[in-house]
Amino acid sequence: MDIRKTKEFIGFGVLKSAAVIVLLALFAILYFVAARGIKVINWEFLTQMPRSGMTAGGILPAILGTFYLTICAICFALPLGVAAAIYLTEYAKQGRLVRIIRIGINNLAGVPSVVFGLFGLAVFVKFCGFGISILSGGLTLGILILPTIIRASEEALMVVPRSFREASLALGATKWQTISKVVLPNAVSGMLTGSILGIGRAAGETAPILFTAVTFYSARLPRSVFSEVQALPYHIYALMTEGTHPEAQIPIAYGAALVLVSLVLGIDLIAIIIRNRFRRRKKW
Amino acid sequence: MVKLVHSPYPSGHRQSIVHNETNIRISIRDLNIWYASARAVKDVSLDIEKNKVTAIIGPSGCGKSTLIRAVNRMNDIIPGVKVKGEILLDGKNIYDEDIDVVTIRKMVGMVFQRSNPFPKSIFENVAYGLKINGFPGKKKLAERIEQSLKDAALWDEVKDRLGDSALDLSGGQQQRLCIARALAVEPEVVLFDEPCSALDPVATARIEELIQELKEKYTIVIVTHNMQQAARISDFCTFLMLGELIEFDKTDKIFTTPSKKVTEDYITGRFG
Ligand SMILES: Nc1ncnc2c1ncn2[C@@H]1O[C@H](COP(=O)(O)OP(=O)(O)O)[C@@H](O)[C@H]1O
Ligand SMILES: [Mg+2]
Repeated sequence: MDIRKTKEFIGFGVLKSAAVIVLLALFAILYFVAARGIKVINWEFLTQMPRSGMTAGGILPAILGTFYLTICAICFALPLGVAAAIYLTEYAKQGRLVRIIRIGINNLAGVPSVVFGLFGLAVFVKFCGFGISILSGGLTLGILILPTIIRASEEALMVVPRSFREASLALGATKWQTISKVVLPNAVSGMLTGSILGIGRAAGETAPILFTAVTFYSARLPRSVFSEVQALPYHIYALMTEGTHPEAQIPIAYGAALVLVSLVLGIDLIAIIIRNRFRRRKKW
Repeated sequence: MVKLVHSPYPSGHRQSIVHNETNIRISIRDLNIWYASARAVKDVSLDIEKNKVTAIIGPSGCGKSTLIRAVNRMNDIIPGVKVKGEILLDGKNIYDEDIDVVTIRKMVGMVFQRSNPFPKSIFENVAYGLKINGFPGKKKLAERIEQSLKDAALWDEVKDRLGDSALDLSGGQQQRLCIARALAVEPEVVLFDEPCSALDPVATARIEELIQELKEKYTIVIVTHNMQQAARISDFCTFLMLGELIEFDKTDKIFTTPSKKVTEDYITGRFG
């Protein structure tokens, strides 16, 4: 083997081990959570209210709470993010203002999530008067994932070939017709994939909902967007740090963790399915 | 009125020799086009006759695309492009303030260098231009699509699979589909920017033949860097170099007795 081949061999080896390590870490986490969580998971665990001061019963309110918060975040952030992306890539003159907005969006993505929690508390809970509620928490999560959605949507818009736009405009289409009938249909899969991955991330966040939406225990299921809720991430945190019966609480926490991880992976899986389905169809 | 910039080839003079005045469809007058600060088209004046094929030839980068795209204002979509001069379409300057670009583009269709069908069905591709213009009625739509595909010499090959994806067609078929799509909105002028440069010789011959037929109904401008192609299919020929119009004449004249040495050098393949 000559020296170049050896170098290549070592180079590939390093890259490959990095990939393997990442994969191992992922499986280790999954195994760790699944092995402990699986013991408590059954139909009752998923569909019942908690009982005996959270030391028994199910986690239905937390599952529902996370579900509602996520839906609320999507309803807020998806239209707003997509609209912003369309404006930034298709309409705005690519000058200083747009550059500043992009820098702003990128920085927003780097803000620690607990800061979003504080912001949500100040603005939605207090200033807007939504109180500790699904609405406040959902909006806070929405803002958290807004940069992800905007960036994913911008990327999806930018990979639509210029030749499609030219073809449409040359046929006498207006700019809006071109965007709505040619650009968007070809960008929608990319937008969805990126956005859903972001949403999966948001579903597992604790800090943004800590001061804005969650409660440790509620006797009833939420009845409107103004209800406070239980949520899986916070439920796990609370079970591990509060209460007086750790021996009963810890297994429930692992069960909840397993549900949460499955939920996030399920959401990611949906994103992958959407992407593959569209990718098979398009050939450009 | 834009100030007349000095041009070594006064348009009035050339026009009288080359054209039958009454048949002029498009008049390009002292056209200058800049990309940011680089001038890509310099003081070009030329007239394009109705129901004729006018070819634009010249070495790569000489401004052929820039010039032809000016005729349906496709340069508008490139940021930083500046246009000075006039392009009169049936006597009206298409760069006037009160002109609606969309109307111009409906009247002046365009076929691009690389075929660019939408990732939709064959039917939907041709229907697109009609639908955005609010074309009424399913039956009429189907008729018009059939007619356009026939005009583009594609109908026989696709009539049984109009619902198939346009991307499943061969390169030559895709380009003819793009022609059909452009014809469907009933333009008066059709611009072709090197429509055959990505095609094999057989597909190229089909398109050339088609362009000959199309000039019965349409006014045609075609950019090509293929000299033989220009000689075969065009009635008039424009030779551009470095953004300047070097020579404009009947194609026969250009290819037999060009009046400029550079033209002769170029068409005999001494450079380019
Ligand atoms: N979008 C653009 N931005 C800046 N310069 C351009 C752009 N398109 C073309 N040019 C320049 O303008 C000149 C003419 O280009 P073009 O019209 O495409 O030439 P041709 O079609 O004859 O090959 C070239 O020098 C090219 O580099
Ligand atoms: Mg070109």
